[in-house]
Amino acid sequence: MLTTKKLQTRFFLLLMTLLVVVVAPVFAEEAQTSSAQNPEQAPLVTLTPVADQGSVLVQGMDSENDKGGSIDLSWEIRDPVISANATKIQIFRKAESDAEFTEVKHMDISALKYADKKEVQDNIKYSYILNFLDKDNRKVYQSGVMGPFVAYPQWFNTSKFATLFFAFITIAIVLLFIQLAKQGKKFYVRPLGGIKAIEDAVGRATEMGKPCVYVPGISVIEDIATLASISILSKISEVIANYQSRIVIPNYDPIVYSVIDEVVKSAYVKAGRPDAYRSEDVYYLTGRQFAYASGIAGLMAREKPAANFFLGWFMAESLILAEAGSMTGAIQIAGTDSISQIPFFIVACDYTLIGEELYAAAAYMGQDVRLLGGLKGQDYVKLFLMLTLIVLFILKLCGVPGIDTILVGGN
Amino acid sequence: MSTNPWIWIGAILTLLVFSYLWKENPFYRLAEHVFVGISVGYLVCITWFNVLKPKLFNPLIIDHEYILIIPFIISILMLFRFSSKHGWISFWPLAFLIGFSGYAIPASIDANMLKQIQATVNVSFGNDFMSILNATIILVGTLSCLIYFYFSIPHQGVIGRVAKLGSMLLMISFGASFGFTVMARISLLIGRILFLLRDWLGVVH
Repeated sequence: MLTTKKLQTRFFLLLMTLLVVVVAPVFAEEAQTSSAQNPEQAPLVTLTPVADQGSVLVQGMDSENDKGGSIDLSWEIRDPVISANATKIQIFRKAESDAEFTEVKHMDISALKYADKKEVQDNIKYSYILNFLDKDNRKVYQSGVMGPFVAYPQWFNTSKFATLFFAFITIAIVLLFIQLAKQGKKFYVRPLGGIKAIEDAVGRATEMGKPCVYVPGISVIEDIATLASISILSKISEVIANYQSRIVIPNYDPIVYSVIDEVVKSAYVKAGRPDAYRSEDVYYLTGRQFAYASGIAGLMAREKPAANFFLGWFMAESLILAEAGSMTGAIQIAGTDSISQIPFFIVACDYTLIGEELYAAAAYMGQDVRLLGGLKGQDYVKLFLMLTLIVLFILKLCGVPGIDTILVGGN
Repeated sequence: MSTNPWIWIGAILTLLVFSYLWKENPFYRLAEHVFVGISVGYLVCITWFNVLKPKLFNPLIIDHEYILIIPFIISILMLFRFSSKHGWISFWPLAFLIGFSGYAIPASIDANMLKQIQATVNVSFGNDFMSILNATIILVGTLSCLIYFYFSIPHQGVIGRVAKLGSMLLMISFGASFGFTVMARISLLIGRILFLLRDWLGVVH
């Protein structure tokens, strides 16, 4: 039983985690700008049209939602003569301490805006002059002195509020279901064909007296697909240890190799057969994609495994692996969330876990209540997203303004 | 025929790898081991010259950025896995690395959830039949695919039929992707054959 104090401690830790994971990235970029000044203290120089003489409107302002060091300039040509002749723009800048203007940019005029990030320092006043040039670099129009403008960092990236909201909702739902699962609530999870096939494949390998080859993909340990793959491998290794069969695991990433080595070793210990663990079967092969593929192709051709598992993140090597494995006659089970590689696995493997089915398999096979709770929580997040999609779509059809950018903050 | 020894090495290794089409043989095995061995050696050099030297040792020793001692110590802890007695110490950097995956949550929500929903909401129902059909396919397709990946209810009845539609749409998408990539792979094969015939043998120009 959890005491109130423990619950409070957990809640506090949860809150801190949320703050670090969710809120921190919303702050405009990194905390490198720790010397950031209070925006209130910064000079109020934003959106100052200064060169509106009826022919050209030029504006400047501090770049929004950034970590400072940037000033936005934009121009709109209203005079048809200037519009017809001006093709380039020359931007001159002067800091308050400088004696004269220096050129910072010479560019095509069609962009209609320029973010000056060239050695712009925060809380320094900058003035600008814009020259509009024709194709022969002759001056067509010169703006007046614009500014001063001041760059400063923002505490919050307001375009990311939707991300903050949905991150909060997602994490809250997932944590709720994890808590419910830990309290013993039973959840229904639709059985997946591929999961049953994994257990059958291990049984087949045992009956045939041949090894299984397990390929955990070519991604790093932080990748969710790799973590899901390791979770599935843990269960497979346990079954392999119980059946006294053999599994060969060539690795691509040294860190993933370290984790997998420990996971497989632990699975053998859990099965009560630590002596059966063969450390030479779990090894680092190489960190180059196609060398890795050729190494595994050779391994499969020599070992003639009864079952091949390709579970994790894959790229262009997927078809080489699946084809080479298919030629050996092994039963092949693949799973990846790498959308571009799923077609190759579908073509060349007996069973394929598509996208999120890989995570579901990890939760299903692992029989860890936290993973099952997380899977259930993700389902409800999907339901929430489907409802959001339908509601926003209806609102858009009704002509409600702002729906076009409501989730991406204009980005 | 080429007189460049590197072209010869490339051509011979290409033929050794192609010999796998016949069956696994000592020639392929030679090429495979050379490839794997060289790639590991290359990776060691890359790691030293692109990571360790410019990002750790040079800043630490030359620029005196002592904050880098922390990641240096964390990386050293990884080596404890070779010790049977103190191997548990290597779990600390591993735990840090795995835990760090939480950092991807906001970016993942932004790119994989919000931008996708927004793009679906922003489909345009124009005035012509094709644009209405296109928008309907995108909307219905997105929802049916999401239902296919909904694991909390059995795929039976109406839900089953919608999930089936989602599955079919996924397969159509995968088929198109497969065809596109096969074309790219054939182009790679043509490039290799061209290398043999033009650069090595010089029989085509």
